Amino acid sequence: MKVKVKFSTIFRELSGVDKTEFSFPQSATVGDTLKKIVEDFPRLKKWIPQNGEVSDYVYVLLNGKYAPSQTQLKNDDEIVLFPPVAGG
Amino acid sequence: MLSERELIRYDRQIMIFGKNAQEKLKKAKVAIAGIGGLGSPVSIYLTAAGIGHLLLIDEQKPELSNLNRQIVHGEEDVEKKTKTLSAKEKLNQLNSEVKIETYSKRISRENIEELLNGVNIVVDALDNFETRYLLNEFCVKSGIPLIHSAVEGLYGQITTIIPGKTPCLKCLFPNPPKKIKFPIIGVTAGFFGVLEANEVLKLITGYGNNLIGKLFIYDLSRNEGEWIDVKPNPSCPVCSDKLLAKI
Repeated sequence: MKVKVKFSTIFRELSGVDKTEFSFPQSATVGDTLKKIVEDFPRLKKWIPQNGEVSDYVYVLLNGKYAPSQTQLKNDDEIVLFPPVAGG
Repeated sequence: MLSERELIRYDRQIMIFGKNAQEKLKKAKVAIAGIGGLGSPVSIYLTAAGIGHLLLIDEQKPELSNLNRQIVHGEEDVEKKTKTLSAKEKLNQLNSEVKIETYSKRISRENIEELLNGVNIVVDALDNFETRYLLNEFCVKSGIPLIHSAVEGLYGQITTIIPGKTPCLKCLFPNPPKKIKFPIIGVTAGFFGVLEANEVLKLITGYGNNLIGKLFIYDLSRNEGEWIDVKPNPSCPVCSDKLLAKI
């Protein structure tokens, strides 16, 4: 199955692309996608832990919904990565 | 009813959305939680636009290091007045017809109901998620729209939360970001503060479209942004009951 990933703000800057697409076996999860992102875009290593867990440094929305690492993916799912911000 | 003076004062914006909408602005009560980087432009533009009643909430005093972005405060206010009083003085000068109420204590579970009683819209201009979650819970429970924004460096995010219709803050961000001393420049807070004020004006007047079910993220360093269609979390501890009640 294919999964689209969109990078926002700092992640776009570090990855050098605004989006990418991965092919995964049927049982892949959000965490697998995060691991693959770090493999393909090593400059994101600091922000995305290699164990595939959602960290304090990245927010992940799957098809517009919060998705923990263990969430199973479907074909054509879209993941958006953006950094947590709290300032005002 | 608008006075002759008000008709002149708001003439250019009445050309956009009409007299009835201006009257709606005059009748509205809007709370601004946080009178810092975001709250400064929010309070200035809502005062200029003629919101009838503003409630400014902030427990801090301006510091010198705030002045690069908290444009409603000046050097004479640093460490002397509360941010709410400092802002009230400037806003009264800008528009004496707007009623400015101030509250200079931290929002808590104990005071929030009384504090926000009668408010039509709440603007989240805070700098921490603990208080944001309190505002979110109150707004969801009371059915009051909440305009959320947060900024850092040269980027930020904004969405308009309509209880029972859109995801709430806890749906989107179930875990608070780490507390850090964050970098920020005035233009970022200014940009997102103006967008927050714009969301308030559109909600009240009914003019245009709001960021309802949309999270807007923008990077001012690259002039790139995106709108993410966001959906409620069916197991959200704050709003899932409210959503179920609507079905």
